[in-house]
Amino acid sequence: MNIFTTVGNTRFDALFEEIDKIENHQKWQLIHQISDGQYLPKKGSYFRFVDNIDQYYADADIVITHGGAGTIFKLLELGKKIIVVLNSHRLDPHQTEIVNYIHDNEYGLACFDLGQLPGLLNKITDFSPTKYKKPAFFKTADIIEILDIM
Amino acid sequence: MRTHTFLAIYSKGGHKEEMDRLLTLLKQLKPKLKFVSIADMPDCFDAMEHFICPEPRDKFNKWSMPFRQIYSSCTTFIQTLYLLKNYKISGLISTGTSMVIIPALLFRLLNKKVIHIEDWSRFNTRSYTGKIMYYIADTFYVQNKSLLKKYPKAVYSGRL
Repeated sequence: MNIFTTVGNTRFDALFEEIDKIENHQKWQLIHQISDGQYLPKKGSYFRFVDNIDQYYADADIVITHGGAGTIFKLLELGKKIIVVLNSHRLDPHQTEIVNYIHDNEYGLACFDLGQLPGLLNKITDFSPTKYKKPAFFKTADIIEILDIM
Repeated sequence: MRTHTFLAIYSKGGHKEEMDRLLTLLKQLKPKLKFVSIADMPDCFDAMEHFICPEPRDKFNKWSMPFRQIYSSCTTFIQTLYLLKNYKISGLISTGTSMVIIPALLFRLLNKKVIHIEDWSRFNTRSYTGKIMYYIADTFYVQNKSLLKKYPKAVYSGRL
């Protein structure tokens, strides 16, 4: 099972420390995107940033992602199986809302506390997420008119 | 003659992704789309002219914020004046970053259009920038219907 972990632009060392603690790595191929984090994962391979992150999404069976909306919506549109992890180390708690959104709609598994992660990784193989239907943006023509775009 | 255009304001991470999607949609209808931009990162979308402004907020340290905000505000103020002088700008559009506040105030004083799209990660609470931009912007869009409870006069736009 290929597991790709991504934290976008915001470091999240505690997540990688937690992943390193988890047993049962024999069947897992781990790749981590760690941003400017100081903790370097011991298991699997890692990099800080990458241009072709879509390729890593494509190759992954499971993506563990931080609560960044950009990453989450992209993964939902790709139909990936995701575990969304709340980064409680940030000052700004706004990620809670999207993690709740994933949890309530069963679009993926939600991890509100890092202690839940081992359990969620065991659960994800059998988990079948709700299919995501994106509510399309429909104000493009209005914006063109308001801004008088030529 | 000064080029007729608009100003796009975005920032790292999700806000940049949102602007990317918005510009892609705009280009489908207007393939010759021209714009100028301000962001806390180098130009991502081939703008006619782009300014980098320091990020006004620190995600981990709240004590540095007042200083950063003053510095960021002065920077965007000067950048906006320069752009207004050199381009014929009809209005601005932002995808939810606090560095938009000063340019937005300037634009409204000059009777130019201001469109703000509230961050797509918001479902039940207002963002810091959104709370302020709700009163400054001519048009305030939300990407999640549940947010209309918090912003009664906002317009639901669907999701970028």
